[in-house]
Amino acid sequence: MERNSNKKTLALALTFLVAAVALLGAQTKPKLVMFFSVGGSGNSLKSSAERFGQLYGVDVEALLFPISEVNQKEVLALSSRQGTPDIIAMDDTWFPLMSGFLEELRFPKSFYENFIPSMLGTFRTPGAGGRQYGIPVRMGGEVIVYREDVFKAAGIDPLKLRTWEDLYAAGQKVTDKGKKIWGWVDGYNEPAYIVMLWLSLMGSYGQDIFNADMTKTVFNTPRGLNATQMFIDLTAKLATPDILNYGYAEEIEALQNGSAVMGQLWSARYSAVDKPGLPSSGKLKILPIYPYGKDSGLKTGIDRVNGWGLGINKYSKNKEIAAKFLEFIGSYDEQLRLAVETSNSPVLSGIFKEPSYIKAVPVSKDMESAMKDGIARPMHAKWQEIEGAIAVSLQKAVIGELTASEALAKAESDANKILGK
Amino acid sequence: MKLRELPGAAFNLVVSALLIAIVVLPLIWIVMLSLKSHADILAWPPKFIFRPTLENFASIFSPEANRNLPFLRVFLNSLIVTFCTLAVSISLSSMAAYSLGRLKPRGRMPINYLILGLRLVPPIAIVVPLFVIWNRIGLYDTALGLIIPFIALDIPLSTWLLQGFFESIPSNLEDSAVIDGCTRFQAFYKIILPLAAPGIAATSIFSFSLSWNELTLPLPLTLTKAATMPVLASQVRTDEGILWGQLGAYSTLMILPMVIFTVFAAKYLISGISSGAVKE
Amino acid sequence: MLNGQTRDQRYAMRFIYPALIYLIVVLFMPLAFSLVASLFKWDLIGDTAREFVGAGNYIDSFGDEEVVKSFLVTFKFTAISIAVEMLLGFFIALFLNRKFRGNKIVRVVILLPMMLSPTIIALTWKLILNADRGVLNYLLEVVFGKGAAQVWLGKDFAMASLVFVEAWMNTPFVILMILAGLQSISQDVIDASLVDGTSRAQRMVYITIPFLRPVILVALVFRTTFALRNFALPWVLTSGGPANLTNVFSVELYRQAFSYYHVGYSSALSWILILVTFVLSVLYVKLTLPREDAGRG
Repeated sequence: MERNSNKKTLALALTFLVAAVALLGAQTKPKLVMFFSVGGSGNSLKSSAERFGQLYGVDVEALLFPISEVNQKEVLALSSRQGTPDIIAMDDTWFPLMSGFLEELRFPKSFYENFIPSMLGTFRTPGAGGRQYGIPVRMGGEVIVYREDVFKAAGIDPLKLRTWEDLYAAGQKVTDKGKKIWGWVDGYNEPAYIVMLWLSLMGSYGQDIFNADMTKTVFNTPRGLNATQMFIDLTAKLATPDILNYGYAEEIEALQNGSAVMGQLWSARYSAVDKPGLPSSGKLKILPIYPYGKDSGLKTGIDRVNGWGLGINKYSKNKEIAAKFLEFIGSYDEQLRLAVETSNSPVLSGIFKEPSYIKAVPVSKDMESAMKDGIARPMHAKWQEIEGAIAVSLQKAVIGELTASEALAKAESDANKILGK
Repeated sequence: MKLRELPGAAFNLVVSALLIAIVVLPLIWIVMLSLKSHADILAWPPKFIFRPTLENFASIFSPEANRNLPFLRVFLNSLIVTFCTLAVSISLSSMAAYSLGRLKPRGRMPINYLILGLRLVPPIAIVVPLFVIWNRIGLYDTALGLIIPFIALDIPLSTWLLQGFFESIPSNLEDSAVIDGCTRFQAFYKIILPLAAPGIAATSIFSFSLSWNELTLPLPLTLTKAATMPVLASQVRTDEGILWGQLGAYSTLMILPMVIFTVFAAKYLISGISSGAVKE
Repeated sequence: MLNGQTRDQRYAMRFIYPALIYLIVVLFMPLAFSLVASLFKWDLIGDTAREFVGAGNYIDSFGDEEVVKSFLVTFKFTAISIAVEMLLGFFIALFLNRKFRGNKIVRVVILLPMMLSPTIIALTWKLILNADRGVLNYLLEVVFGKGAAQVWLGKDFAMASLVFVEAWMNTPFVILMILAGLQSISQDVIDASLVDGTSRAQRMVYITIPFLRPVILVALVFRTTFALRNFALPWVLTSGGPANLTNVFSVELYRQAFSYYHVGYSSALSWILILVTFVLSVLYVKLTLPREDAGRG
């Protein structure tokens, strides 16, 4: 009898032990939750997240939502101090809003040195004592894409196109309204898209948006007017009448099926456009130099780098693992893999020289200058709203309700009103 | 058919065909989208005849897509949330509507205005407080966390709709029944309620569709465990544009339960009242 | 008898309490939050300082150009849509009330547009109405020639397209309501009127419409409430554009709440919407309900 009860107790104790260890083990498997935007960017970043999970034994939940929902879910979580999601994915313009809720990053200096400076700077608080709260992971510049064969047939030498005026003249030559061939295309159906093009034009005409201490907008000037007029001419005269409803899908399609023969494109999106087996395959090229305004005094245009960065939620319960993940996805190897396998736009300068990347994306050499010479978009907590106001005025100018100068004046006064609120 | 009736019948036919066409053609277009390959969707001129493919449905059920938000779980969530909401809401609303529509207590209009007023709140206004409160009491990402506000949003609707129907029933039926020996509640339950069946059916269809398709609340209040179909379907809006094929597939799958429910409820909708309720 | 009346009153109220209590318990907190928030200048993120401004948000909204414009756009949109829906709905319901073969099928089919989420419907119509590759333009060009294709979501037709899709989606609701009401008309009443020798038109005006009054009223109040707050359709179909031509109030509200995160300001806008809808509903009730309340025993 006694032996049996001893055995039973032993068995029970062993079971308990095993259960405890298993439970503890299950509990200590770390978990990371993050949101990415559905689409090319999301798929690319998610692949990294899942790879990280496998390599490091971490339970990774990378959820995909439309970009506005990602923003909302993150803002709701951060503002009510929730620890989920652990990783905060940010479009560059979200950084001023979210930086206060992010954990400061303390990576070694050597880690930061690899990044393209303008991109790294996007996730750093401004000023001399600025601190790093995020790292870029998928950022590109804006490039001008064109159909080489169509241009050649029209007798245009693309490499001679230096100014926006040159570009516009070329666009006029190749636009054929009867055949529905348009000399200009871009995405327009979100305020951010419209303003992205406008910002690039403003920069290329040498016009700043804000004053030095970011308290007022100062773009209603003759230079600003030239840039804005060019924006309106390109949009209203060279693009399809439905252009204001165009999103990036429509832009990609138009370039692919030949209804558009020139346009501005986010560099990371090039691979989505140039797919094999299409009428346009292999014929779409990129202008190596971003155009500048004719009388601007500039030698090269200035586009805007933009894209995605990642930060760590200040209230996360898994900060160490989160930091490990950032280190992983910002590492040279992973960025190279992302660039080659998922056509990610790399954020590390060195990758542009990698043979495997150049082989995978031959036009990348033309994109390099756009990345390195580009500047960040304006960083202001109220930028979303200012963008909205500028976009409405620009749209009204495109449909003819306002002239360029009226639109510019209204945009500036609306923006200043918002800043003053 | 008599010759005299031909023009009438022809008229009926033409108008019916027109109505059905206007309603059904866009819906057919959606279903066609779900069966088209990506190339066919974007083809110009648009393809009316094409080789159907199940690739869109396959992508919804693929293991890759099902890892975080499995289709079956999400579908079940939608069913559970919608039915629970419907059950509770219609019960509470019928009783309230009966009283307001027939018993007409004092203070009827102020109560009506209160109830209507509570419905006028746009869901957007309550998202932020609900998010904060639900997180604090652990209802974030739960089915109950959705059912509770859904019922609250639905009661005013249903009460208002049902009131009109209860009112339209000939008066004094309860009194006749009471004279015949029923209790007042039995009169309500056994006589008035069946007569209000078309109204209740109509209201349930409407309620069902609102809860089934609601997106504003589930999006912020759920994550992966309690997500509903509209949340899953919203994933077709990618950065590079809308995945039309998948949209078609989601739409087709989402409309099925609704159609089934409607056909079921329509039985009551179509039944007349000439069931000899009042034998004057 | 006083006692009897009080007993009746208590009995009647007992039916109402469950629904009423549920509503108050569940909605009280969020509504109180929203009301209090509307008195503050407060952003959810960004400039998160909270500043008490009392009626400041409400006053600001009247000076906010985009908000005021969106009000006008909403009014235009609502008025036209509802007129179309009520008229069409009424006549179609009458038609479906007739007895003919296949009647039942049409009645069920007509309910279909109500069953899909507005987002999906909006996306589908967006594809159909697409200027460059939508099937509508294709069919128009085939039937009417080259010039027939239009930019349906552009500056000239955006509002019309919006009204059209809205009516497509919601006329079935009106049909449903009125049809159910028509079905409830006791056959005896109709038989009686037939015996009396009333003409069709007389029957329509003197029996049917008054009988349907409660149902018509409900449909009207509902459609107005929903049309005023209609968000998913304009947001997805046109995003309020182009150039804010279809920027209805709830789109502007959503933008203030979830693009700019002005919690205080958007709460105030919500309450303005509630107030306006409430006033309109009360007006409807007063105008269409006869003095029947006073006369009823």
